[in-house]
Amino acid sequence: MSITFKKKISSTSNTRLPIGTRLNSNGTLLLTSSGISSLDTFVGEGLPIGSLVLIYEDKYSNISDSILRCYLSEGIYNKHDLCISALRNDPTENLPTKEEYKLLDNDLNNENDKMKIAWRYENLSTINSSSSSLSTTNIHYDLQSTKSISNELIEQIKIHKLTWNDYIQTQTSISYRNYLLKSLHQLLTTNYSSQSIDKRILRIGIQSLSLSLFDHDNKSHFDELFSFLYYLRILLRTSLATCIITLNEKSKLFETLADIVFELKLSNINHSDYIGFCQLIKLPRLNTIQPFIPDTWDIGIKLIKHRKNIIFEKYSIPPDLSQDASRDEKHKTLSCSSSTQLDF
Amino acid sequence: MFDELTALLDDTNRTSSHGSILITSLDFDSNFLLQHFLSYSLKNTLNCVYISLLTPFSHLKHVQNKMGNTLKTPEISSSSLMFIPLFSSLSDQFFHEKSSLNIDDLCKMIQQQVIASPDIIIIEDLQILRHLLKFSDIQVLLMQRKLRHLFPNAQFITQISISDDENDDENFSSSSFINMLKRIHNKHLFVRSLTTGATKDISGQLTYTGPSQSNLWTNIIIRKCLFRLTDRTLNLITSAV
Repeated sequence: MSITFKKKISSTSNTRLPIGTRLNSNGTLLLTSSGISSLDTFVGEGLPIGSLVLIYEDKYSNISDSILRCYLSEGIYNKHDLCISALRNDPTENLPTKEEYKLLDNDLNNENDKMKIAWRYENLSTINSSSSSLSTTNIHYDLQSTKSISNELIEQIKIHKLTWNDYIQTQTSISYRNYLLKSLHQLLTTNYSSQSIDKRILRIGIQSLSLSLFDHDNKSHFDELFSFLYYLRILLRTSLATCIITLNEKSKLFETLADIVFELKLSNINHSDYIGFCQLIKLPRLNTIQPFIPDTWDIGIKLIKHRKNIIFEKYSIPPDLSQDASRDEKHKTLSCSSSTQLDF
Repeated sequence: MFDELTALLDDTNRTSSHGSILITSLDFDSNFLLQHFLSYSLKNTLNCVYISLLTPFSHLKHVQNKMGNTLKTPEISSSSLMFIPLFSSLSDQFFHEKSSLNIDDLCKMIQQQVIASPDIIIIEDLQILRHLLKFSDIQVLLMQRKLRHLFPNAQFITQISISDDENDDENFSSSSFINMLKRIHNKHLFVRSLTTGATKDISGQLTYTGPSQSNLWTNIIIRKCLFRLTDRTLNLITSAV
């Protein structure tokens, strides 16, 4: 008989954690949800506080913008302050609203009844290995919601916007990225330091940071981005904040500075259930040598519930049954009626 | 520390030697190798200087704790570890708009913070100096030489992640900068990820290049293996090829 020991995390410690955060299974990291619970399972239960996330955008930035919107909405519902920098559109306009779905026993049984291939296993209980076993409540954000988040929730938090117009009005000689960085430095060191008494979390979302428009000098585009990510990472490590940055260009050096990196691609397969794919490139190694290893590094992205909710799941190619000649209609019967010829 | 890695490197306990180790990596965080050398120096009560360009002390503390070493505070006067958070100085210089640092400033800063004569000096990712402070390849190499002049008895462990401009052939060795760094280091450890991504059984690939032990002549030996990494162990798996 094997005995396994699991470190017991004190139940009282959760009462001192900031709202909307929890400790990881080892008790060494403070985590918060990205807003997409299925994505959280692939990156190690959530986003670590103090981490930097890089997303390589998909072709039209639809999926990356959806992830950003869910991330910001999750912040509002968890009373986290927001800081946004976006040029193409304002992600805070028409943020998705939260929907909770509880998986009832009937739903689980219905799913079992639908097994057509693995019909031998339909009577066995399902084991939910991908998501948390603590609850069967899935939280999704309605990306097509016409309702807005209630003002009561929005008034409880602060939303800081760092816009291009603000930068132009300051008439400063520094580049936009440096202006952004210095604004974040002031914000993080004064209000969201890890030493501050008021433990409020700040969620930073920066859209399309690698746009050439933000370059101070065309020749130093790459170095500017590198220094931005470097200084931001140092700031985040001493702050109660997380940051998601979307980029439209890839570089291995950017990946050395970020904690979580993944790439989004649109699906080019017609009639596929997947709208896109997510390739995990790097997972966080905060306070540990070996990071969380997911079951797969290739993830499919779907829109469910009439294309309202976005989910990430293990990408699997369905079996192709169309060209198998032995499975035509006349031989499907399992009866013991005599037949003169047996076809294998 | 990782015993199998110590056995592979063979003579890391000869601190009087001037053997330096260069650690390069592609698509894989080779910080675990720095943690190994740090753990080795702590377990053997060697004076170790850790020049950090990215890693905060809290991360070192947690990782070393899992490896059986206790680090209490980052203050230099405690224990045999001298932790130099160079990233704080760089950050301070940027946000308070101070004059940019050159090689002499950095070397002076390091020298001031080193109290006891170090046995091992660990330097984190040199790519940061190239792209952040815009040091040329020659300047980075010059800095290496200056540090060796300041600390002649120390064993240098230098880390550099391979960037896109060095990634131009299969062996990633055509970059003249990497080649020059290899010339001033005795041993080379190259770490890269698996093309299909890490699994729970195999974390990545490791290639060791170093001098052989013959008394008559010096050969170069190359050992390639896969490895499995956990918080406490590193298992080297010899490739069947």
